[in-house]
Amino acid sequence: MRTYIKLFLSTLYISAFTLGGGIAIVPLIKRKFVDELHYINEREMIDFIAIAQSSPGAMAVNLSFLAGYKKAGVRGALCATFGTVLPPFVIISIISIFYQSFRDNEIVRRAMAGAAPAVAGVIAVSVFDIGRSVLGVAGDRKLSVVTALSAFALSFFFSVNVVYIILACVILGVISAFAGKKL
Amino acid sequence: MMWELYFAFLRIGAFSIGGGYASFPLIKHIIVDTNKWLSNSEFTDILTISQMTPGPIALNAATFVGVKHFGQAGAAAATLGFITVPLIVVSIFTYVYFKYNATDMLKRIFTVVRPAVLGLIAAACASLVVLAVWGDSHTANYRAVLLFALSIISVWKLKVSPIAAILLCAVIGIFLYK
Repeated sequence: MRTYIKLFLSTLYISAFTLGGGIAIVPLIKRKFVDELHYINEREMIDFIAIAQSSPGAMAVNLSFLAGYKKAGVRGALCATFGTVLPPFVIISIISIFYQSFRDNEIVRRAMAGAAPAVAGVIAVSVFDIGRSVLGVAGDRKLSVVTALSAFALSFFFSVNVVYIILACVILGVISAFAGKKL
Repeated sequence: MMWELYFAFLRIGAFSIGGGYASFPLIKHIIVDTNKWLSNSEFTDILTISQMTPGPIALNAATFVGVKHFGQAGAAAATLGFITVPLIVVSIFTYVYFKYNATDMLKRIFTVVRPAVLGLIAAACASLVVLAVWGDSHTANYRAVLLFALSIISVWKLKVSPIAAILLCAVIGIFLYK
């Protein structure tokens, strides 16, 4: 029971502070679930990000579900998901009452302008951490660097949908598995 | 009517693939054009508010539309609608991942996928940097550069939690921006 409550409160806390959406949740999940609670390791987190991005819906919901499942099965997954969904539900329910004044609030606007580069900076730190663990493992490091740079270029310069990029990697992985067996 | 709301967001959830911004046109089509639950300007408002509040944009929109037309129950229906299909799909992927992750095939696949994920996170980060530092203008915003550097140093070197670093920069932003 304690694990379920812990999962719920952890994702509740993360979700309440995930500004920026999508990938912005990665540094927060890493800090809480990998570094603090040790519910998942960094490699699993990277795998979960791939799965979450390949699935429809919101990154935060999918990633919480996976992390919750790893720690405490289906019930854990549901507790983690509920924790993620609740903050936007409550916050928007409240703000919808006075959303016009909130939208035009100068203090909120300035705070968000300050938070935006910080969100990018916090993700940048995660990029270094994840880079160290992905490119640091034994294996074909050159191939990994080429894959990472290709994925970066396709997404950043050519705005290719994330799903296609991951799908292409899955196909390459399948091919390499079959090729590996024959050799 | 509540069912319509549920199924509208079920559709949105099912077809939002590849990140928040990719699903904007679909959300707009279903919410504004087809069902007329929000006006164009209300839709723009909810996008703006989503950027000022935590949580995924689609969930913020779901709550906003639900509350406006059917109160809290509507917000719950829209939220549940949005997560229905994603949770089914993720459950299937989760099952496959944990059942087969010791197999050679899945190991090979993730050996290729992991560096790609690194590249994709770096790309998302780069987009956010460009948006925060340059925005719509051609000159770099030195305040954004300062806060970007401050957040990196505080999380990386001083081991401050990411949330604390973001909140700190938000507070500094109140005084720094005009």
